[in-house]
Amino acid sequence: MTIGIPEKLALTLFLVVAAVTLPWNISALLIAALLSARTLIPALRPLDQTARRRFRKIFFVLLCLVAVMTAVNSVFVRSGAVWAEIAGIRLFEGGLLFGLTTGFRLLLIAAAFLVLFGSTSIGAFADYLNHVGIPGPIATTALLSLHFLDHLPERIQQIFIAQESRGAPLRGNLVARIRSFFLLLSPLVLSSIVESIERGTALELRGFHLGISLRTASGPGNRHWSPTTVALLAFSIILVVYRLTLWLIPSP
Amino acid sequence: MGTRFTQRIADELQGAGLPFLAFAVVLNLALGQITSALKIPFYMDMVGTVLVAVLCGPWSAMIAGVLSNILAAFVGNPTMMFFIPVVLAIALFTAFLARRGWFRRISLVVVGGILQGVVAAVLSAPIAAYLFGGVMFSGTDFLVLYFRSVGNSLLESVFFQGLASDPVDKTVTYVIVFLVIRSLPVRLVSRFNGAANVLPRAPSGPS
Amino acid sequence: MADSISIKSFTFRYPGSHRNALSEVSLEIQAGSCCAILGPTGAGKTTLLQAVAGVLGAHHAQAAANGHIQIGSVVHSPLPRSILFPRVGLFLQDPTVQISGIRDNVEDEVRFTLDNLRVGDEEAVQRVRIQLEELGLGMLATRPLSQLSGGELQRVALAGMLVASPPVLLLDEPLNSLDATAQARLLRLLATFRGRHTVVLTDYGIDAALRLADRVVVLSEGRVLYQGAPAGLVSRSEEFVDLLPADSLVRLSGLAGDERIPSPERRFFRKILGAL
Repeated sequence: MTIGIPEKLALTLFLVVAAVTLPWNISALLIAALLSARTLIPALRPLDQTARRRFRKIFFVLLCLVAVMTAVNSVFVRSGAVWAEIAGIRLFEGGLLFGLTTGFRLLLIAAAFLVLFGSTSIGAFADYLNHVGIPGPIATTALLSLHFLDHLPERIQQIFIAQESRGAPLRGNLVARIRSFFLLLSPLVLSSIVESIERGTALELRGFHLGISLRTASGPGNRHWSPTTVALLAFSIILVVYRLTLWLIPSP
Repeated sequence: MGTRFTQRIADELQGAGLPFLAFAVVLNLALGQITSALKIPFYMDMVGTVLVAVLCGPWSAMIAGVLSNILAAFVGNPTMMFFIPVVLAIALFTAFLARRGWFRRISLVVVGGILQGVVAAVLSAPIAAYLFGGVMFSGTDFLVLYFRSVGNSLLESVFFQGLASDPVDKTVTYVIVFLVIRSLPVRLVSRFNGAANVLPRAPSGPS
Repeated sequence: MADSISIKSFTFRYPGSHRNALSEVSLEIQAGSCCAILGPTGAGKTTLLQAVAGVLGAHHAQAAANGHIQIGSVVHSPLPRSILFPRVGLFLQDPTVQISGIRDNVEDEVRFTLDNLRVGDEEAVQRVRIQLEELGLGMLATRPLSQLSGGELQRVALAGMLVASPPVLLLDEPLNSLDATAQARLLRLLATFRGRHTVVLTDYGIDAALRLADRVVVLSEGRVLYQGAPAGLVSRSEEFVDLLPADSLVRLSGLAGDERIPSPERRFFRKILGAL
């Protein structure tokens, strides 16, 4: 079974639909299944150490946030029976269920996208978009954005240091921090606008005009969907229809 | 349709180019990180989109907004993808105001920002409420909880939270874009397709 | 086949500006020759190159301009209204902005230009290979761009322009970001272009002009103060004391065998110009 970009996109779509339509315990099972698949299936593994670290960090942070929000919701959303009482604080079943549902929904959606982007190079992704007919400017802009995103932390750091050396109050009370935000914003935005325009000119000076599609090393793409893709898309549609049916037809 | 769409984008980006669009996408992503690092209670995740809407046009602004929300998933915030309809509305509304000269005067910029914030609150409330139960893993979640605890429905709570924060956030965004454009040299601004939205009349010819 | 450049009474003012960026500039550059344009920052060197390349006309449609620019047999009045690549190649001051950002390695980056020109696969592969060898980048063909040094990136950016074989090459301060070895290599390469390309380069100092140029132009505040052979500049070095950097003046005075400037005054000039 080959897992290429179409299959990964279909899997992501299926997981997102499942997160929105199915109960929290199924979402939890799907998260566990996805984490296992990420380890066992080569096509779903992170491309490099950076992707691996990013996944771990974001997933762990989200997991903690889910725990916190579940606890907070079970205190403030006072619906259903009292589930527990801790140090005089009552925890309600309705709030707990609400917290678990939304928490695991977000966690599954986040995990699905993290696996997709962690296991797919953006170049390959942009080429795929181009093959399926997404206009060239969109794919090219996505690639350029990621190129800039790589260099941006360095530039922000330089501006931070430059402003701090001029006495800008980068720490302090809210007013001071807002002021320092604007001190950072101005050089960052202005220098970036100038540079982006120069880059645009440089691209034109190499004959690049909007509408030219990107060359792909892999040659013309295959527009036929694999059975895996079809199956995942079918499951997604079934889930959506199932959920809509439940919503439209009132329970007795 | 692809060719016509591409031509429309090409016309809007005349003089600016795709890197400017890409930079706007990155600005949307980066400013959110900076405000978070400085613990400032604003999102600032639409500055790039608004900048493109004013200086280029609605279509390129929509691309900037959509790509920002998609790439946000790449940097770890996938819930942004579901707010793409909100982003499209913001791009269109801002370009509409810019074409009518609202970005020439600060008073109109402020009014426009407030209106934009209300539009954003109205459009984002159903998405946040029904898809995410009002939980967006940000500081405003507690505001939603507060509104719920005093008896409002989920949708009402999310809407009130949006009304409390979005007009302020969008007004600040609009003012930032206004000030940025004002600080750019005329030579630079005149390159953009939307230069007429923000520039005064051109000076006389060479002596 | 190289093209000649003829600029007649060209005047240009940027939108919103109250003074001309270029005033009544007239130049003649023979096909296949090399011309060096010198002058301090703000003299109009970059503006002139961008006017010839078509950047000004394409991006400043509302700007005021007079005169005309002729490249080969094509006359543009007052200036080209679209970017003239691949007939005219312009190499910008900052080489890093000329890296496309959408290709991963050196070979693909250089090939990007030919893809834009819709050159066929086989021909493109061959031309890229030849261009990389010419610039000493053959061993780096599959190297990711993120692993290149500043000088290597500049050569890749240059290769990306040269692979299209533009008859006219405009280079904006190409020596600025290079060390002495890399500068010497670039100047040797540019010397091989004589006859094949018309080369116009701008520089802050005199080195490129003296080593390479058939013709030198000195610009100041948008006006041409001198144009002619490099030897003529040598004999008029005192006129450009305020315009050229101290080390250039020292070289010029040395070339002229001019011992009239005693050491204390030479030190004074260096100090003043260094402070500027």
